[in-house]
Amino acid sequence: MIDFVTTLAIGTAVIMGYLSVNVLFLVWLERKVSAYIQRRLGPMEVGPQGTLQTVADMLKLLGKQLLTPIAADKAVYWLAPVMVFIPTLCLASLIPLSGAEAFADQPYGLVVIIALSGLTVIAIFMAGWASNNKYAVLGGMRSVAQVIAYEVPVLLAALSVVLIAGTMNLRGIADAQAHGGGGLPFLLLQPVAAVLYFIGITAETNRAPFDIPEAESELVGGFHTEYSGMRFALFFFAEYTNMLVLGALGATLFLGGWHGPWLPGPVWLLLKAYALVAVMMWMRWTFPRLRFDQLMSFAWKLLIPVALVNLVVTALVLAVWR
Amino acid sequence: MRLVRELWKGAWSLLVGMGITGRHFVRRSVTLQYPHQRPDVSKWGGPIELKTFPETNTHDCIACNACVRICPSECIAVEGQRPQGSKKMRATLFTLDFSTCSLCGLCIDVCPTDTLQYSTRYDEAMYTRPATVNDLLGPFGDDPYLSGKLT
Amino acid sequence: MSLSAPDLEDPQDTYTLNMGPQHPSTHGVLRLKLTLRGERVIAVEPVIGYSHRAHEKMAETRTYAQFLPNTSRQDYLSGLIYNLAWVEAVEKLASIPVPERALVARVILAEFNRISSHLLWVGAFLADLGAVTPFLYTFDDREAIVGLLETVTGSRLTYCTGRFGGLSKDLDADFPRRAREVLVRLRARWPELEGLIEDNVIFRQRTMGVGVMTEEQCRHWGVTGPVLRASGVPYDVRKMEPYGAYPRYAFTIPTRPEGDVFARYMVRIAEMEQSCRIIEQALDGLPEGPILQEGSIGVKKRLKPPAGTLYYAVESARGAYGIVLTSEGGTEPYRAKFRTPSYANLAALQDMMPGSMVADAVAILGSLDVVMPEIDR
Repeated sequence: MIDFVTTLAIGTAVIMGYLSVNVLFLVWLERKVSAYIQRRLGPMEVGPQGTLQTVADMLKLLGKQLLTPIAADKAVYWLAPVMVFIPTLCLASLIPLSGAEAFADQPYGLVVIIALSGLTVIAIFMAGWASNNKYAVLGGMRSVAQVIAYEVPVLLAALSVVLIAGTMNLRGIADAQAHGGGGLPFLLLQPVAAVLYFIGITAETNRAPFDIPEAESELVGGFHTEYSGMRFALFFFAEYTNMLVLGALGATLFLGGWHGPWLPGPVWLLLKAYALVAVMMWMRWTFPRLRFDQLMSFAWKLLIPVALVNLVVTALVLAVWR
Repeated sequence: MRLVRELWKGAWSLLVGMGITGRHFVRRSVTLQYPHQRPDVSKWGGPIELKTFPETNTHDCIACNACVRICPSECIAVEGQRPQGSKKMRATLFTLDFSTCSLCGLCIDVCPTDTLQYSTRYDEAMYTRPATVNDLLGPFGDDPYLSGKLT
Repeated sequence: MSLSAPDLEDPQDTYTLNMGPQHPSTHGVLRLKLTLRGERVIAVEPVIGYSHRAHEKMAETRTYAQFLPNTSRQDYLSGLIYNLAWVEAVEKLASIPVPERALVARVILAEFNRISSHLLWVGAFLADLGAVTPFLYTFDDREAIVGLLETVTGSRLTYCTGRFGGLSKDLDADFPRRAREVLVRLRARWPELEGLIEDNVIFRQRTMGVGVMTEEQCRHWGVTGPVLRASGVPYDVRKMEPYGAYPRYAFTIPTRPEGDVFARYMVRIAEMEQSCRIIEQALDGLPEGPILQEGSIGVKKRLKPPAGTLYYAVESARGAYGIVLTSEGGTEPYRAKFRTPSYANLAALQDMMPGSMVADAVAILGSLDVVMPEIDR
């Protein structure tokens, strides 16, 4: 029992520490990537090349007054930023870091991950509802509809990979790309699924071109309108962590996880995950936003049929081949 | 079939767009890191100042008030005094309220002795409203005409 | 998308949404009272007047030369065009001759101003739609143009370089070379904008078929400028009522038949290229000579035009800008009325927006290229 508690405590501390550093890094990366794309320099003053800028911003946010709207549902309002973060934390512990190390190894790890990533939706809607703000509710509802719609292609794409790998265990899927499936990353065997997965996670994390819920030039300010200071920071902490975790999942599903020459396993996994995150950032600063109805029809009328077709074709090909 | 072609064209356009931003990503930035680097303001029409003529090493304002009369914002105030034994007046007070000046240059064009010009200053922020009133005679010190050194 | 009759008459289930004077999209201080049913706009009422500064009254209490700084502040993006329009109107009223070099120089400066205004519009419009990056690219190009204009006039945004009988500062000997460099740089940018924006499937989906204006609606509201030309009407003041040195130059008026937001974008891009053509021809034929008629009229000696009324129109970046100038023989105008293009274009919103969705409202408003200070004056 003591052993379990100690492991839990140390594990949580390590993960939290890593995720905090990750968020600092990703915010800095986002600002630098957007700056270089736009032919400017980004943060330069605080720390070398602006690396301490996020720390300065976090310190500033810590000092801000936490305003609560008068008629807000206090308990739900307080709970929402916390709840948006907890599933992501669990997800982070489920991705296997290497053949030998993993925080939690589940035989049906993929299903657990997909299920957990759906929990953030509840927290987002809680945030929108509890703010007692017309526009926050609208933003929250739109975000919920968007996330639900785009979870289906993600799941179907992941299922196509599972069909080939033969297991839902993430370690097994990564191993299948190194040894079992002929040594090919599933990106090559399942390009359609890879593209669907990538589009799906861009929409799951509310990144452009799917960022209507948090767009400023639209009328609604989004579900986090009424949140200030550190509560607001928690939402963005969760968003960046979500990006990393889903990117790491994509690296495991399609790029071979931790396998790779010379460098240790976890380093490869992180490199691949950050590569996916960098591509998401690249897309954000290139494309305009999709209108909400276009976004929904894109998911339901295009992505999901394609994902279903891909799944069926994969199953048929495998049935013939094996 | 047409749908597939539309899809392909759409996807290709997205990739082309990403290629353009990707190309810009690797090019040098165009940022001028102020205040470590300063811009080239040699042709900038900044706050009005009095010109120093090389022959006399001072300005040539005769306090005719033409600039005062033409200024659309009424931001110039001039006072003058005639030195001993001279027909031309010299300015003893020349203030320009920079907070209302629109840098139109009409005062420069109307000046009969051509003694007004644009400066190239651009960081003119002040903390108090009285500080926005520029004293154009400040850089000049004692007036040589009024003190009798020149006639 | 028009509304069916029952939609218009049924007052149930509608709610009013206020796109208030403070906007994330930078169009100035405009208030739009939207009446919505669900996601559809039923009616829109623009409320203006938040930046009224009484320019027309100021014109009555200042001399013709003293009004020069005001002219640029009406539409700060086409400031040079407005400045020159006032100068030319007064020159026409008082029959002041203008040297050849000044006529050609005015065309060059005005066309550069037009390009810089359109470039800013491209950036701001894309930023409304969610793509922030083109804003930075067009501002980089705009910096080149504005830097060039700074070397000529001394100002970057609000210009006061026009004088009655010419310009206050001459173009220096190096100007044609620098101007041609800027043209080369701009022309290298058009294919990039095409690949990044025009071909982009998301941009096309957001803008095609949105905010359609027919030719009759345009005539009804008095819409001019790129909005009118995007509805198929080839009306451009530089061709219909030529002024200055424009009759000498060969350029086309780009039009599109569709009348939607995408058409307006395409028309403005095509106009920028036509402006480059005009500048090239003007630089080739830039004559030598004085830049200002002798006497510094209006500045060194007070101008007293003969009594009379005059209407003078130019093509600004937004449409037809007209000045109705009435003189009674004194040093100050008796009345100066400014017909600004954004005023009519904004009113046309009441025909354009109903039927579209809320998310399109921002795109439609952005496509009009409205500058609030010139509406409120």
